[in-house]
This record gives sequence, C-alpha cells and structure tokens, in this order.
Amino acid sequence: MSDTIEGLDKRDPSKLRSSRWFAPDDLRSFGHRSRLKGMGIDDADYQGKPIVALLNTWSDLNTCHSHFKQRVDEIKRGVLQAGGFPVEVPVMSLGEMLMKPTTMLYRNLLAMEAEEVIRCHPVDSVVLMGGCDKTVPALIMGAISADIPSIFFPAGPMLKARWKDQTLGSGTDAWKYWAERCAGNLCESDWKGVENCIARSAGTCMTMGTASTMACIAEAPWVDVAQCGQHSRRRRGT
Amino acid sequence: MATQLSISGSTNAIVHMIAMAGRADIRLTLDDYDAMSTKVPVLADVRPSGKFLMEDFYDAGGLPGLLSRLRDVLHLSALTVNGMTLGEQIRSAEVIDDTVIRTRENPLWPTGGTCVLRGNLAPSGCVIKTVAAEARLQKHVGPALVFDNYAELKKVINDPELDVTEDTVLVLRSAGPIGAPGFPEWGMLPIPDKLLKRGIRDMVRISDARMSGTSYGTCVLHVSPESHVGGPLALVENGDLIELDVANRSLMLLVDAETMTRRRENWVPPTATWTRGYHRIFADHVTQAHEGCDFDFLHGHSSNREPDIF
Repeated sequence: MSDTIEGLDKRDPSKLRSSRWFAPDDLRSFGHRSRLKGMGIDDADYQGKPIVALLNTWSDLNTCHSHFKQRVDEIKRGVLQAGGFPVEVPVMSLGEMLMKPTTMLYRNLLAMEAEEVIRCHPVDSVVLMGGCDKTVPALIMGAISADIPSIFFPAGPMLKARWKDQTLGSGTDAWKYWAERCAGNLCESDWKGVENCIARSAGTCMTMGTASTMACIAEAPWVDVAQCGQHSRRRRGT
Repeated sequence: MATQLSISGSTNAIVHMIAMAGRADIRLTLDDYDAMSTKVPVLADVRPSGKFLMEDFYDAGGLPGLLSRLRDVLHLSALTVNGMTLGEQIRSAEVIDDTVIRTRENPLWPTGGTCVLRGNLAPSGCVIKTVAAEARLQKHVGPALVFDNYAELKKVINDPELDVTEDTVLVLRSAGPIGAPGFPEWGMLPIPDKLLKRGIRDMVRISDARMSGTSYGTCVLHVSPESHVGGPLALVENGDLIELDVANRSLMLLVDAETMTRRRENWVPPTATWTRGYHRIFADHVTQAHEGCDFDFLHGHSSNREPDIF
C-alpha cells in the first residue's frame, strides 16, 4: 500500500478510484453497498481502504499454477495486514503444457481480459498472479494499459528434479534425453524414469526458460515481490 | 533487456518486452536489443545455456546478486514498486557462489549471447541464442531443406531416404504469428534420427517460429516478415545455399535477385482459413515478431477512460 511507504504521499481515501462506486449517496451506490452486505462485507470492511484485486490465473489445466488456490489466501492476508481490502478475481489461465496449438495465440486475449476486468470493476490496485510463460507479459500488458498501480506475484519455479544420479531441468533435459532415445541410447524404462521424475513440485520450468526469464524481467524493476520468482516453493517445504 | 541478456534468457522475452513497452508508448526495437547485447555478458550459468537450475541461482544470490554485478548497465535511479530506487534495492546484494553467478571477469559468454540477425532472408530481423548453439555452426553455409509446414516436416523428417546431412540447413515456414497460426514454439526443429544415431546433436535451423526458452541449438528464430505474409522465407527452395554468419549478424539466402523476383511473381499467397471469432481478430490484427505480436489496436494505454456510473 502506498500509505505504508515512507516518503510517498498518503492518498486521500475519497480520491480512491473505488470510491466512485461506493461513496455517492445515490441509487447505484446503494445497490453496490447492499449487495456486498449480502456477502457479509460491511461498509467499514472496505470503505476508505484501497480495494486490491488479485487477478488469479489458477486452473486445474495449468500445471504451473496448481498452488495458486492456496497462495491467493496468503496474498489476501498480506493485503489485509497492509490495510487494504483484497478481492480475488479469476482471469483466463494460459498453461504452456496443455494448451494447443500454443499459448501465444491467447497472450493478447488474456491481456485484453486483464485490462477490461480492471477497468470495469471498483479496484484501486492489482496483484498480478502469473508465472507460466505468457501469463507474465499478458498480465503486465493489461495492467499497463489499464493504468492503475500493480505488483507482480510469480508462481516461481519447480524444485530441482532428480533421476538416478542426474539433476533434471524441465524442457532442456526432456529434449536432451529424447534425442538420446531417438539415437537408440536410452531404453524405454529409463525414458519413463525421466518422465516420472522431471516435474517434482508445483511451479514453472526450473530452467531459465521463458517463465523464469519473464519472472526475472518482472523482478528487475521490482514489479514483483522480491525474489519469489526464484523460490516460491520453499515456503511449502516441498 | 540487460536482465534478460545476463541470464541468457528465453528468446521469447524479446517479443514480450517489445509488446509490454508498446503498452507504455515506448517504441522498443530489435536494434535497441542488439545494441544492449554488445554490452551485457551472460553471467547466470543456468540451463539451457549453462549448467545449474533456478534453485541454485536463488541460493547463489538470485537476481539481486546478479544485478549487483551489472550496475554499470542498469538505470539505478529508476523507481521500483516499493518506492526505493533500483540502486537502493541492490545496494547490499551479494553473490554467494561465483560458479552459478559468474563474475564479469569470468562470464559464461562475453557479450552477444543472444543476437539479432538481418539479411535478405529476414529484412525485418530474426534472433539467435548464440550461447546455446554449437560454436562450429556460427559461421556456416549449407543447402536448404525446406518444409512448407510442421505437418510435412513430421511426416518426412525421419525418412531414411531423406536427402540430409549435418551441413544441411533445415528451413520451416508457415510457423509465424499468422501462418501457424499463433506463433508456436516449433523453432527447435528435430534433427533427423539417422543423424542423431551418428552422434549429430546440432544443425542450423531457420524458421518464422519461436522456440521454448528451455530449448537450445543453432536455431534462427522469429524470421520477419513471416512466410505467410510473403516474407522471403516463403521463396526458399530445396538446395538453395544459405549463409549464417553470427559474428557479422547476417543471414543470407545466396540466390540472385533476378531469381528471387521471378519466384516472387509466381508466389501464391495462402488463403485465410479463419473467418470468425477470436481467431479472426488475431489473424487480422496481430503484428509481426519484430513488432511484439500485440494487436495493432492495443498499443498504448487508456488513461482517463473510466466507465460511466449512472
């Protein structure tokens, strides 16, 4: 939150973007407030606080983001601790492994969705929960175009994989061992062993693939929560 | 850009950086990228270019450690998300393990780890991750073996009778933003089994596709304009000589201009297969690889475009 950072101006709550939805004494705002009350959210819970949307790209078909269901609750707690009001907003998930013909076909669709989901809702800032390759640029592109404060939260890479006495890196070692199999140097059971071992935890490719690269690019200007791009599995102890 | 180069990051990030900058009304070009490439060494020894994995990178000091070795190429006064400058963020950063995050004196690759190439085969540019390619192929002339699309490649690549040697240049077209469609990661073309069995693990491969950031090899990617819109890649024929010269940032099709003109006159543009829905929007509006592949109507941002609430 900007008001917790020394040296930055504390924002006047009445100037928050979300106050256009909730502050006026009119029929529409009555509707907005009353429906939140129907969800058990009272005026004091959110009024005068920045409403922080957590754009969550979780999906059962996105193998890299399987931990986002739990992780979003931890981010919510962080937003509450910092004095904001968190709301989880699901957006399209782009999982590199299972989406065909390619996630790149849908990067711009997620970017458009992120931009418009931000624009049409009463949110003052966003946490962009991405990780797998295209989700990172897509969410950042959308947030830049929506032009409201944003911070990036990366999925983080998988733990190092091991098979026999070898460490395995996703992608890279799959290509490498496939070439050996095609060359007749790797038997079927060894190939199966690599398949069984190469994806060891939740998270993105733990090589310097596109996900890790984009996480580092996001972290360089600290769009990101410092260093999560390289180790978010640690906290699960997996 | 400095970050991406120093970690020998995915070539995909070049496309994404151009697209993200475009949203902020910043015109980032392949020339900007190549200029930075001549200044920044590869320091992260992480696969596919190096040896280690992301966990090792974190333990060695992670990104703050790495950036602390690149202060001279960073905008240290740039404001970061918590209100501190980048310089302040990395003031106390340190590298714990020089074998994973190399020193400037002992880089994994000096500069030019990823390069932009141009030439008559890629007038608007293409890219190659030099650091992940075999050294012997960085200057190479070979005859083209052309695949019109990936389905054709898959059908014949392991045919024992295929006329291919380790000097052949494998060329794939119809793999770009519109042609594939969607700009898939097909750029690390498979090496024919019969060459794999002889111990060959790298060949020169050229396409208008992307490749996975986890991939490696002498793969020339993002050839722009793509073949689908009539880029010169569409005019290559089997047996044409292609010259790759990474040191001179050049990719040339060694075919005379007269022949190329004749081929262009005979070239038949492919018909559009997508006529409705999101796919139609994509095909009508996606920009080429060197422009970031954003939709042409999405550049910039929409300040003060707040919704009416009545």
